[in-house]
Amino acid sequence: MDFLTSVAYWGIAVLVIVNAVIVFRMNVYINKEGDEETEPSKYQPGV
Amino acid sequence: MNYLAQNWVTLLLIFIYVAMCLYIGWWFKKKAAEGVSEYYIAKREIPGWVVSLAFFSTFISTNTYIGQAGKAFNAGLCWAWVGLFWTVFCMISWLLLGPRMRNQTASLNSVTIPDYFDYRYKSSLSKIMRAFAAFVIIFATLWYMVGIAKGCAHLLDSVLHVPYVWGAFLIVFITCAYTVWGGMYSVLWTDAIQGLMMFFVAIIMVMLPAMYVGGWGDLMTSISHVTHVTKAGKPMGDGLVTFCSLVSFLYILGIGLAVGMKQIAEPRCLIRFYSVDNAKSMKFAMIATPIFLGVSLICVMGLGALVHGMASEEEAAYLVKHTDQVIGFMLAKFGNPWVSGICLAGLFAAGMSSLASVMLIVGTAFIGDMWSLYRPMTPPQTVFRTKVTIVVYCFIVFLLTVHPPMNIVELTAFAGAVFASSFFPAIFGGLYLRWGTGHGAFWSMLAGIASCLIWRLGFRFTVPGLKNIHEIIPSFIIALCVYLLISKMTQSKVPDKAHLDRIFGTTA
Repeated sequence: MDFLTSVAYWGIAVLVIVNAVIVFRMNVYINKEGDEETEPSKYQPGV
Repeated sequence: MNYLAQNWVTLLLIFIYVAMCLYIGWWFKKKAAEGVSEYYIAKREIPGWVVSLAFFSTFISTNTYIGQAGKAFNAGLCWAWVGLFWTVFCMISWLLLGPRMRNQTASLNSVTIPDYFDYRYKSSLSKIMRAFAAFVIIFATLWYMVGIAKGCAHLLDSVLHVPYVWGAFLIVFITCAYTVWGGMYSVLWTDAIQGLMMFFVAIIMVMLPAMYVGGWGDLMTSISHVTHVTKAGKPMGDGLVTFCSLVSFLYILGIGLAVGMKQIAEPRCLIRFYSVDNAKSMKFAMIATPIFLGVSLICVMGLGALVHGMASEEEAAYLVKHTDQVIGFMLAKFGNPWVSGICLAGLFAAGMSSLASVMLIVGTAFIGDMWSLYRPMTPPQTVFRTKVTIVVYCFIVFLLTVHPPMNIVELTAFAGAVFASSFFPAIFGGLYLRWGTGHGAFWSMLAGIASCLIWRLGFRFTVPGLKNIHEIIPSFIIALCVYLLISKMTQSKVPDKAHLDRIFGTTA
């Protein structure tokens, strides 16, 4: 198998690991249904 | 008696699997009937591992395990690049859309994707946009369901010799039964079990060619230089292990984008975010889903190329023209009834998990986003009518599966492109852009669908050199530009500050 073909296989593995690291470092906040007093500014600032 | 003696293992495993799905549906029957939120989104109380597996099993279907895996028989091991693109979109979906979608839909009390458009944008076009989005879901989903049911019915026919019509009937109405009974609860929990089965079946399947040949070393040696010929009759040589020797990268990119982008635009995937119960579950699902998907795709996407090691020249010459039969050939050649039974149960799981998800989406779209929009109804009426809609829709799917249109595969792929180009700008803009407007969302939907149609019917197959450029690429870019441009032009239509603060927070 040549290098570029193999990239597809180990590339997926690398992506999965990178994703896990990103999520570990993220601050995820989930609010309740109909919750007016949310704190989404910490997580979803909007543009 | 001879039939039972030959197939008892496969029949037993499939019977256990089907009985388990029906039992789960029956178990959640009472709980799901308590209200619209319960039936439509399982009251946002589902653990992360269940939602994660459900997302994985909903996105992946028999098309991946049979169609895409078989495709590598012609394209070689580099077909796994398609899987790489899909993994990227899985990450984008969970990292960028998941938590925001869960939070905003909870704040807005949204229970479907079309009603999110309505409540989020709050414009004069919102109601029309909601009904239009529901119409797109109902119409585009039909071909997808027929394609899945057709694949499963053919599988039952070829493996267990069940007549095609009976196979279609069983696959559609068994799935219909547990979906109608338990709503989103049974869809998610059965999806989770089906996802686990699919994950382990993918690992089992990739080991079969190596076990048959006598080890990974021997297998790789045998496929590194084959005497088999391509569909055009040319020798494959070392093409199976050489990057894009047998297929163009542009084609891989087109399939990678067209199918992968379903994860960021199709309601059957996005509705999963609604049901996550808390932040811990969300984080778990954000990590686990790309793992389930990525590992499965590493195993499955290049599998067809490995099957060359099991096939004679005559067998390869036949399979190269019938890639959908490559996985069936592999199981038959391996010749172990337990392995065949387990893999078949996994393949049915892949089909049924996707079918159940879209059945519920169709029912909720018709009743929640079309009928009740113009004639309000009580929660018990909503739930009951959603159930009736699902059953009626399943009859239509069954009839179309018995008499499928000639170009069902193309229709299914086209439906995916329509979803991605027409829904994504409105969803992404709704989640991230305070200044996004309902007018921008509505016109981007129309532009996405129109550009999909125009590219496919007017350019792709008539202008030389454009054949490998899937309609998803131009239509997605056009729809996104239309969303941004029309939103900027209609800033007077931006919802009021209090509404936006409720969605985005007050400090933004």
